[in-house]
Amino acid sequence: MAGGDFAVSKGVSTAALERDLGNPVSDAESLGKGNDTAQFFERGLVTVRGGRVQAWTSTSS
Amino acid sequence: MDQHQFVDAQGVQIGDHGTQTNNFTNAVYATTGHGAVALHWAMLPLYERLGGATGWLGFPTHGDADVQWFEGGVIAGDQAVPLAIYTEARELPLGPVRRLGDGADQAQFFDKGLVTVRDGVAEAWVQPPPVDFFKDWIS
Repeated sequence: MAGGDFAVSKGVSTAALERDLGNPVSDAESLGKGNDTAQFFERGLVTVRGGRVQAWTSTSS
Repeated sequence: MDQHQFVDAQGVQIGDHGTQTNNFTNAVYATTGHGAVALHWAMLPLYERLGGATGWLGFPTHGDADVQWFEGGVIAGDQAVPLAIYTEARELPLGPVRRLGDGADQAQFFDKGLVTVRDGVAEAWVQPPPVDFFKDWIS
């Protein structure tokens, strides 16, 4: 999926770029209650918890 | 029925395959598949909040001082973890299991990472180091 089809917030986009996660493959999804979110990318995942943005890569890749 | 209520030695029938018997230090759950397993009182508030033996954890199967195993998950520390997630993480969770999106997907954070369950498939995630975009320029 090419980038641009999914909305990405600036903080999430920066984290994905810094960790070379590629383009988003989903919209941001809610992560439990509150404003926390998770968004999947071609090579990873970015979560926002309590305003803190964290990038993740799968241990299986 | 209040599950803290004291009952006779035969226990209270729960669902179609188990019983619960309470005593002064724990609750003993007995099933044909797992036999009798004692669950300490300290775990009962969380266990009952998640539905007890009829919730997603199901009946207790075995345990030790650190982890109590159930049919559908574990209680580790003060958190409950679905079985699929614990199998990937194998450490104490930092918080409760969270719903991921609007469906049945789940996520749970751990000390060293994060585990997601999407379409029934568990996946472990760790934090990668920052990419050094200039490393190829310096030699």
